[in-house]
Amino acid sequence: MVKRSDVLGLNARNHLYQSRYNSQKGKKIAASKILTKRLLRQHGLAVPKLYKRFNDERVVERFDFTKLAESFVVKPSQGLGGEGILVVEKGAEFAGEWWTVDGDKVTMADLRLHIRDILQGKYSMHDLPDTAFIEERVRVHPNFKPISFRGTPDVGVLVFNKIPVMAFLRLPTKESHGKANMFQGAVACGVDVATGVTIKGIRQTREIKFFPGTRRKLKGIRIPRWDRVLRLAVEAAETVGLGFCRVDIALQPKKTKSGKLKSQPMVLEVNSQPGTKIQVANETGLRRRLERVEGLKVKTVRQGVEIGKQLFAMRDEDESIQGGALYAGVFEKVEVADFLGERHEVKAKIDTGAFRTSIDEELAKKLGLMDPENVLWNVGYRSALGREERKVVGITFWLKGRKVKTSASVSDRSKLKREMIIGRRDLLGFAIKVREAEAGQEA
Amino acid sequence: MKRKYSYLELIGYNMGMFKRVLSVFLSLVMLTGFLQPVFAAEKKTESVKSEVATESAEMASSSGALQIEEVVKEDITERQSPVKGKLEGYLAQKGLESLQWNNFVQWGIRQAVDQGVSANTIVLVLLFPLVAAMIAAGRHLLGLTGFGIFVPAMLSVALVATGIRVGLILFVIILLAATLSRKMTKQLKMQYMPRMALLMWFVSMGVLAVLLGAVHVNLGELSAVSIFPILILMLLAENFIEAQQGKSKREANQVTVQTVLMAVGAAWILKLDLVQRFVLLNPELYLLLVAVFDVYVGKYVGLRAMELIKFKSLLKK
Repeated sequence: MVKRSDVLGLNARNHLYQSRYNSQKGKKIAASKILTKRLLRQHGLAVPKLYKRFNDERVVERFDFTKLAESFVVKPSQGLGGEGILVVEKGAEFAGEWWTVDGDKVTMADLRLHIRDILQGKYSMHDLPDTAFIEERVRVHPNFKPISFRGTPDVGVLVFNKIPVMAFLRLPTKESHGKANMFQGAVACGVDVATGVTIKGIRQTREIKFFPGTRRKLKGIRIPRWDRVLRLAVEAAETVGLGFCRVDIALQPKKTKSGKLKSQPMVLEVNSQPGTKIQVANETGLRRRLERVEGLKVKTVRQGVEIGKQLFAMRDEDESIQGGALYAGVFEKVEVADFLGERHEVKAKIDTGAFRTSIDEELAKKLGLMDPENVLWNVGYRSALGREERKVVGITFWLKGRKVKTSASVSDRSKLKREMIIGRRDLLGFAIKVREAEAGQEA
Repeated sequence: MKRKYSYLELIGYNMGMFKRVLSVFLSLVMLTGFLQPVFAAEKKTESVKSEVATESAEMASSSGALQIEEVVKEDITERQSPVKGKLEGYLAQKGLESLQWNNFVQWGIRQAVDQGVSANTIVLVLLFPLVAAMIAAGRHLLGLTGFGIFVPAMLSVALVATGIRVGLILFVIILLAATLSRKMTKQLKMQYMPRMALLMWFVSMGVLAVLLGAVHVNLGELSAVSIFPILILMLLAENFIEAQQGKSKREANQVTVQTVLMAVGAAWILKLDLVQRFVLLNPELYLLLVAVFDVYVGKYVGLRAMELIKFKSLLKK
């Protein structure tokens, strides 16, 4: 139950927050995507790469669109509510023709007309002449592939007084024509500020359980690199000079040199007049939250992020309550599932020096994990005793109540105190807190 | 480059301002020149049967639009006296004490009316702040999203000038013409300004057809409408077309409907006898009340009525 006075309406937003905490200069920068982009780039914050900027119709006629990357986005600098954005997915069979994300084929003439429309102010406020630009397209992150339609989902983080106060994840649908805009029918999911995990999904103002047309749950989706997303949001708000704003961030999936997926959060836009529907998605009144952090002295970005995570945790799990991290000691008891799925308590050591979790052979046999069907592969280990073959088995265990489904190498640990070692591969999201007793314990 | 951009911006800005100033100017012209006769015509059509009106309209239509206005004007000046008497009758009914701090506006009004200024005009000028306040309240207390404050205010005055029914018919026709032509010109892939110009061409033709056709279907009131309300309606039509082009269909429709609702509401109140009388007899109190109400609306930070619906699921649980 949310009290009426806890909800932020447009009057309160404009009168109490937007006009008081947002400087004219900041608003002016935020109103122009080009200015925002330039400023953020100068301060070393990640934004989608700018390919070309158009002020002049003559340049539009001369510009050779075939030299652009395969996929790109045409945007008006001062567009409202996602209008006038044209997302080109890939080139069509002939040069000078492209497929848009909507599935339409556009020619170079279409692109030119669209840009001229933008320049003449078709999509800007009050019909003022506008600037158009072409930028790098942020692709759909693999985590979001099953729950988005064509377009790129984005994360909106509401920042007030350097503190991330509320967040939502917007997913483009068929109805919204692949645009992550709620007015046009995109799905919005409330996000737990502490952990970056979604709470529930809404479309317009109604709650929905699954992504439209699928059986994919909208609750419990983890946004990758959540800490980085929050930090980027606060940094962007600070750089633009807005005390109260929403920073829209998309995650560009990138491959590292070793071929691993590492996504890069990028600021799409800073909005000095954030919408109020974020409250419906989060089932929480925003005004109450804003009042709680108003006037707090926040010194650094890090501190602001931590305050937000601590204050606005929403899920009942320890992870959320502890501000996004699950604390584990060095010696922990874990619960391991046997081949029937029953849990058995096992003494384990947390070892960030080890890569992979490893389990005692005897125990693995007892639990039925050595069944040939459960053996994944063999690994060759080099140790002081020479080469040694070890089996790697599938395993599911619970550490501090969190389920970890992973693989473990099997070795003889019969002479050791603890039958399991938890390697760093399975420790994502945990923070190691060494207890007093553990510090003085040898093994 | 930079300078050029800001120059363009300046032009754009001026264009917006120009439009606003033009509409205010037009409405003022209407208020002072046309409202009074049309007002009279509105009220009189019931008592004086349509014989004379249709006769004059037919006569006029045969000899061109300009003459319609003249003929109507002539008609109206004849019919004006009883209506003029009504508002002035109110003034006469209420005696006035000596000039004091709380009745100086009344003094001024009486003097002006004695000198021949129309009481209708004075009432409408006085009522305009109320219309503006109502529109502001519609936005901030109810949560209706109109096209700013100018468009609904202008529309309401235009509706008063033409009569609500006729005004709505005209407006719907203008909108239809605009929407239809928008659909038709979409294929042509034209640039923005010429495309808008072509839209205005269609709208003008639509209005012209109505004006010429109204005579034949015995809708005398329609052809008796003066050019200024029509111009205002056309100016507004441009706004609506822009909204259709710039925003999503749902949003554009929503904004349009809400603007028309606000304008009709405001026009209805403008025409209320009770309101006119109160304003004319207690202008000081009325003006003070409106100003206080404006301040209240401006300081209100609670939820708007429409937001209660928006956040229904949030508040219910």
